[in-house]
Amino acid sequence: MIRNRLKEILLKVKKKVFTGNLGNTLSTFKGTGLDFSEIKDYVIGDDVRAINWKSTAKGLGVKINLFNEERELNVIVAYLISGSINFGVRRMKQDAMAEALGYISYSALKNSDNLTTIFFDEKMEKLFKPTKKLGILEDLIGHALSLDAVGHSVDFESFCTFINSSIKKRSLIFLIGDFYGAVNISKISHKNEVYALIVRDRFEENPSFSGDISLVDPVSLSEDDLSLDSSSLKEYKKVLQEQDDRLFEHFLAHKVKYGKIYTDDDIYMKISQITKG
Amino acid sequence: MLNQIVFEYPLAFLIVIPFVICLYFCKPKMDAIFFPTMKFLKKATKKSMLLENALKVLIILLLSTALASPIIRDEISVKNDKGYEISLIIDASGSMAQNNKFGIVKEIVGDFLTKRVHDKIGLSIFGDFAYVAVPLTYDKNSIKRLLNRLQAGIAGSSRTALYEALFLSSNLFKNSHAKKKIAILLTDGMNNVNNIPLDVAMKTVKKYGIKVYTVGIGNAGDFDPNVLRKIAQESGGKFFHANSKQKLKEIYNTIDKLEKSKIKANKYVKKRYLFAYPLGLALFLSILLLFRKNRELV
Repeated sequence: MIRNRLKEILLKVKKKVFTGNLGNTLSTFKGTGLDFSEIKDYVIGDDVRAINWKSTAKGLGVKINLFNEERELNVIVAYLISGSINFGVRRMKQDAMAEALGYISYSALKNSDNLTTIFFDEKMEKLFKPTKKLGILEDLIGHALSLDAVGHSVDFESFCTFINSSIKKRSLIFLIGDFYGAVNISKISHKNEVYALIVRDRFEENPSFSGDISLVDPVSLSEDDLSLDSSSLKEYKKVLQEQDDRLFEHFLAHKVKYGKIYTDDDIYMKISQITKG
Repeated sequence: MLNQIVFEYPLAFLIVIPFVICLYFCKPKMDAIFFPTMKFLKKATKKSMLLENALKVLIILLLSTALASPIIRDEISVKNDKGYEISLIIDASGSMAQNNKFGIVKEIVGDFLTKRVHDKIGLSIFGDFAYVAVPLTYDKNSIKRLLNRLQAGIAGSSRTALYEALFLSSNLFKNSHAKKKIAILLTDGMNNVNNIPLDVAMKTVKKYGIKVYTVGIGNAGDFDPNVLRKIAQESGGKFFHANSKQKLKEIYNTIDKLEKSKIKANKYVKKRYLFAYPLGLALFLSILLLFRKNRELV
């Protein structure tokens, strides 16, 4: 079951990343390299070795080539495991998160960036050491699909401590999770470039339950009978909206780029939009 | 008015305790699903859940109130099954009219009635014939009212149906369960109606175990002390003789003291049941709850 799903996701990831616009996560530093960026007018001080003679010969002044600087990026992907990702109406959030993980990892690997992957709940659950090998992709997605999230919750405090103590180099950090509860990533955001991918299911934000229903909290595992009506659902949406507003405010205050990805979205597209800013 | 409401079975209120416990600890088992934002949902439904549970508890409270049977004690009269039953037999023949004898007797008997608060009392009258004026009852007021209306000669003025009166009033005790049955026979004449012989009357008296106190008033020649004494002795009572108002009063006082009722009276309560009100309200709230549930499904 997981095996098949893994293959599906792998195929999807490879296809999308391969055909899609590669290098979206590349640095925008201009410098020497092989990756051609653009042609611009020569100004005094520019490297004469970069003069594009063909363009210059066309008679519109001296032109030089610009290249994207070849710089090895440190990409950290954190898969945040909380019980609440074990949910989804048409597709599990855990599954959608695995796909997102796949896109980012594959893009980074294709770019020959250093990829570190962390699975984190209350503590570090599993760490894939920095690598450039494409073969790790299968392990990453496989692990993301097969882990059991129920009963766990993300401790952002210790997550920040872990990142700060183990990652010294300035990095690009992708957080994949559903971001419920107390989120505080201020300790890592000032040094690194952080992207938060908030994976949600539409039903959890807009539940159409009615009447009596028995629900289990996937973190504390406590069961409760709830009696729902339209007024309490309205209240619920308000409470959820407040929590999200607090979350976005926190992200904005710490210059974290964020975006919501729903399980029924085109995840690749969504990630591109979020990373392009 | 309100503080008179009492509960017949206050233990019924205990039902509320297991209900409240069950409301939180033995919930109905339903299929449960994981829901990620359960925390928020719980917070959002807190108010309506509280309302619903309060409604449920209120319904059970009302139902148990109805089961506890609230009553209003409208009137408290006195009952004494195991106490005394006293039958007063009063001579109302023509001769009683002399010297206001009947008036004095009425007065003294009235006083006696007031003293015997916890006893059932009956009243029989005799003259030419005997009849039961009031059967055994706690209702002293009606006896008194009737006593006031009585006049000498009300049952014929020429003769004295003493044995018949004794026989008739003894029959009052037919369905009685009282431990002590007492008759006070008051006369100023001799029996001169022969429809019931003394033997038959005495047999009835003994059959029901009635203690007969006999009171002869007037001079010794007016009544037959031997017969009265015989009746008293055979039934275990006592014979008295009075020739003055003072003496008669003393006699009734003596009887009152001799037959002092020691038992505290059981209370007989005339109840008005009020259970319909909490029951009706509970039903109404149940319908409200159903309606609420119904609305939720929309």
